[in-house]
Amino acid sequence: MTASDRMRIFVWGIGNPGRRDDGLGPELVRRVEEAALAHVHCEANYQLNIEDAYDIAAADVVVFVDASRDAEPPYEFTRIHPARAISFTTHALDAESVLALCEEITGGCPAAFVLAVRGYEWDIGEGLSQGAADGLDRAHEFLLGVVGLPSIEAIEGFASLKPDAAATI
Amino acid sequence: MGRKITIEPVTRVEGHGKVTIQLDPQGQVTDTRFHIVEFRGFERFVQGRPYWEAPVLVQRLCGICPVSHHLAAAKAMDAIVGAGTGDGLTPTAEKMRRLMHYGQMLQSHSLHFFHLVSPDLLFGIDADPAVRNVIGVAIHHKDLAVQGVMMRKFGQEIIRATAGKKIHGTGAIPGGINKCLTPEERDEFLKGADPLNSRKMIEWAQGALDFFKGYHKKNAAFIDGFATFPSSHLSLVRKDGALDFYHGVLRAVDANGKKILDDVDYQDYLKYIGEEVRSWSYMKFPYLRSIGKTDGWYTVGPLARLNTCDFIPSPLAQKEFEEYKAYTKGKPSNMSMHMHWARLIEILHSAEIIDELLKDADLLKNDLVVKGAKREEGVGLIEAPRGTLFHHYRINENDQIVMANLIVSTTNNNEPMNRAVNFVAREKLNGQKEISEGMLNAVEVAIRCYDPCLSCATHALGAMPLEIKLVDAGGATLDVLWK
Repeated sequence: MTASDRMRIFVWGIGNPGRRDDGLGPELVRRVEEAALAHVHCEANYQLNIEDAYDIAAADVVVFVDASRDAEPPYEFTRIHPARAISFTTHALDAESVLALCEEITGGCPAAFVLAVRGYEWDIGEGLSQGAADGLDRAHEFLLGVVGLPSIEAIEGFASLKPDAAATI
Repeated sequence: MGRKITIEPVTRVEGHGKVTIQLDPQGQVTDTRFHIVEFRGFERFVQGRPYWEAPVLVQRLCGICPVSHHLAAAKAMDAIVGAGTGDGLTPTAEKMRRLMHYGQMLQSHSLHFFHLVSPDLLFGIDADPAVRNVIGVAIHHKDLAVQGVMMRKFGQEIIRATAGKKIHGTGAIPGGINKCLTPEERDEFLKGADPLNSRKMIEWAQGALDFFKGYHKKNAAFIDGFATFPSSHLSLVRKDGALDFYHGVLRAVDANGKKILDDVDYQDYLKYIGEEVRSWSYMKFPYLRSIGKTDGWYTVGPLARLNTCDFIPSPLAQKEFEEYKAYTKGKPSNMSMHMHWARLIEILHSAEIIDELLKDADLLKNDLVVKGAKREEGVGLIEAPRGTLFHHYRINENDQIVMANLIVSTTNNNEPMNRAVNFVAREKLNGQKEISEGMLNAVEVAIRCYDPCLSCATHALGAMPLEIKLVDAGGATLDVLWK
């Protein structure tokens, strides 16, 4: 399969590296970027915002990578869909709202997934906790497998699977 | 039986804040408080770190306005490395920083207006919250939503080009900057395909102003009467009295326009500004020392800036400023909702200045850093989107930071936000048997005028669900609502 045949995949890391495990998303994106895969575009920021709705529009698949306080360790991988019913809003948006905004302003949106990596420490400071660092390694391995899959359906097959099962990618 | 209403944390503002409204047995509002329930002590975090790390470290304060902290810290470090106090940099360094800052103002103000304010104006503050949001704007007013998204994106791209990256940008360093603009970057911002170019930003900024002014004409009672109360105002102004977001001297005026402070060097801010601690909030209450703790509070931000400055140094925004000032016959505006009008004029001004800077050949030059005799102390001030931002540091002989004091914009606006909440709570809730969603949103609308960023004010980022708690005079919870 050539690079041009591949799906265009956007890996979007969310979090603040200055808040310990909140930096899981950007760190995972940094590692994926190191692989220099032509069909994978990487981006990271503290949080999602309205302009991201435009940025993700050109992708076939977007994977939001975020730290989670309550995900099953070491990570959970789920399919998400646009959600128009925002019950409240802040300066930031959640991933489902970004998808909905993308759909409204561009007429479509990519298939979307969330890779939620379990975090444990959130104070101001540098470096991941040991638990988060361990989870990061496994999530990294998993994500590299995901971006190598040939279709949305194939990726969807790994959504909501337990990590041990997903490790068969 | 009296009761207490708690909005915790406040929606559409950042961080951990809550509003409590105390009602007496007759349903009359007896007390209100807008307070902060989390404190992380960021100042302590930077102690012991080398001073040159500060401009990057402080961006961890906040995901909303990291550029403001980056530049305020860099300005303080300019003083420490002997590069002057805001006006001693090379032309390239100062203009690159200005471009970064005006890009930040454009994107931050655009986000606030299109994302947070326009739903209230388009659908009404009583409208169903399921519609009264940015997705609702996209569905019913697509052009406006697209403009908001693209203006935000343009500002973010300016930041990326000047700061180096979106997270933890490194563009500003003590004594200057670490990169200039490339001709390709400049041409993209100036002549790129529509809509991502400076001309389109100016056009859309004018369109947003027209939209607001049209709304104002039809809803003057609401815009002029909502949360209106007398206040003093403080901001930086350029030496000649011009509006300036990046550098200047401190000026404060009272509610009638009389100057309280003028031409004050902000390195001496401690002589003029004190901070009061109150037991019920982690957010301090700054005040002008010459007036005292009780009455020395002041407003910062777009409303304050247009109340303190004499003129705006860009032609289209100046024309709008003249119309804006004529509305209050040259006197300061003390109308909270005029904050939005002022903010839109500042968007236009930012777009004009970005366009002007991009045409300046200095941006492409390589004279980036100056240094002089080192000092142990430095203060950096900047007009952040939400208002005046103070960064103050002291270092030791090993170049380690030993003291840091930050007064962020939202902290400066602590008392006026409390006044706004009190005003609206009394107007909307007094004597009401049922407290509706619309009434509570009115309280939030008052807070939103100030576009507070509580993650800065608490020096913490945090998740933010909404809890509304009704508590009777005895402390028993009557009802809890979640949004």
